Amino acid sequence: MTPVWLIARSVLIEAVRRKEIYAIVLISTLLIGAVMTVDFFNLEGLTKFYREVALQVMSAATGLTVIVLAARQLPREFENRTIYPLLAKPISRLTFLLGKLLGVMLAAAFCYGLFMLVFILGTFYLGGEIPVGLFLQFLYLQMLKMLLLAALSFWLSMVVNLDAAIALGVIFFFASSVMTNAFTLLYPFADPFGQGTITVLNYALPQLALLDLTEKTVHSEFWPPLNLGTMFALTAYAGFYILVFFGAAWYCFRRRPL
Amino acid sequence: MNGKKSSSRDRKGLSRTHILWALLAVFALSPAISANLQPSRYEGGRVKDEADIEARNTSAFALILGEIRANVSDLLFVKTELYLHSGVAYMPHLDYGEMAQTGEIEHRPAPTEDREPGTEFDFERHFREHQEEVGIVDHDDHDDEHAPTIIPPARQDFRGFIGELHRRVKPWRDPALAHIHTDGRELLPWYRLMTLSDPHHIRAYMIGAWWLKAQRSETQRKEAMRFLDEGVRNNPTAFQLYLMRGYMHNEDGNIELARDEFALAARHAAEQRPSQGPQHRDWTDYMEDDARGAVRMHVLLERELRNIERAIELSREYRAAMGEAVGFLNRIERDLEAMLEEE
Repeated sequence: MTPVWLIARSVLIEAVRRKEIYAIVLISTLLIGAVMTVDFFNLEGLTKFYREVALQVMSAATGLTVIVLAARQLPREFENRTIYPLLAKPISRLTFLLGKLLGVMLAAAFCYGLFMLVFILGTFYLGGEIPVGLFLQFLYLQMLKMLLLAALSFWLSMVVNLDAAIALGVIFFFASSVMTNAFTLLYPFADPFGQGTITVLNYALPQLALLDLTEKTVHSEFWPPLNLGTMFALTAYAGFYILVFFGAAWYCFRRRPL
Repeated sequence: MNGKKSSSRDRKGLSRTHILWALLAVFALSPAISANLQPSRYEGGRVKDEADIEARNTSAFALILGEIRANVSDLLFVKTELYLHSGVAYMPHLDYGEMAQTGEIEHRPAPTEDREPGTEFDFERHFREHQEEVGIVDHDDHDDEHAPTIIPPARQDFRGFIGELHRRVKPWRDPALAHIHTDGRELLPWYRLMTLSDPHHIRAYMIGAWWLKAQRSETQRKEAMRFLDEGVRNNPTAFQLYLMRGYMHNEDGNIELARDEFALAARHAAEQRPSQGPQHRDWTDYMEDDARGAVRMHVLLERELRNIERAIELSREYRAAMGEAVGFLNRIERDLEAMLEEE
């Protein structure tokens, strides 16, 4: 097994053993189950409401899991001094970081996998259908978003303390879609300096709203899956920020004295 | 040393587990807590009285919290606009007064224009029109089809390729094109949540009842009536809700029940109507139209029940209370007097 895989596996095993993921999935599932039990005027087959609530809860829960899990990986290694025996082996810091990132993503995929099981069972229970094409694209973009969040959290955990890294990550996660709409709404009212600032922020900050297909998945009967060109552009868009944040995290990690 | 460390870790782990289970237990018990909540006791939320709104808006809390205090119920109303437009986010543009009154969506001319009061509640006509508006229908004849979208079109978007991606990822339609409207069925959970969140959200009761009726099944018709009953329980002076119940009873052939509902609607409307009518800031054209409809139907149903003298008496009372607003009663009253003479 390669060192990257070994490190990733240890992250995943630890995440699963700590049972936090199960707790998050359980609480979210209870919430989704509560939504399913509400009787809306004896109407059957109201799947949009369920789809919307379930996907939003799942995305939020997985996002929070990834931020917390990723942000604490590196500080805890230093705090527990477990990083020293690891780096004494012929493993580069890049390999170490890549392993950690892969481990966090495996944990996110595990978390999302559990959610998807709940979601699919719930949809069939309500007599709904799953728009396969859009749904797969939704999952892919969610994973890209989680990867971006994990890379961002790695970098934040290297430049600020753990609590601040988690807080900043969570704020960014929830404020991102508001930010995207705020740019378009505020721009016409801003003076030239303000418009310049908004333009810079528009390109400088990653906009997680672009990686969120929830609305189209909810209203899937009206919207076809995205074409390959768009999916490629979105992958490139997310990939750019993932590389930037991961590169910054690696740079900070390399300079960090042991 | 090692033993001490491990026992300290065990204690930490144990306490975290306890906290987790305690949280899960509280979560699991939450339905029992919420079951005892009585939403109708809640007095805040969307108030109809302008003076109350002003008092709220100028309170210290309002000034400190600003828009954050906008209640959940109003936010859910925005959600229903998204659902009506198949997920496309337009700037809020729907005429909720019209929706509450007729079940129709989109902008319409003011209801008092060239329309005989009362006749606008021809349910068959409304259902026919409504049927045209549910399902996937392009509306070419609506005057609001140029309502701007939250995500601007490329020609107005400064964001370049990011804007383009945004338009492709989110449900988006060029605002110059006709809107696509969906079946209101999927909106119903949101109206349910709206009224749970704010039991004084009268329009939510009215529009929700319209959508339920539009499902054209006996079960949903009963649900619509139950929904209106709940609305009346929570808002005993909301005359529009009595009016809707009256029309439903009338449709079902329960004339006496319908008459009683119209009587209540007309009484509350006459009590609430300011002397300036729609010129008053709190009294909209729709309220005026509903009030006139209630009065008209009350008198007409008394006539239908052959209580001619009572109908004449009521007509005079309403004319005295509401003046020119119910001028149409003159003609009805003349007919009634002629009927009385014939008898």
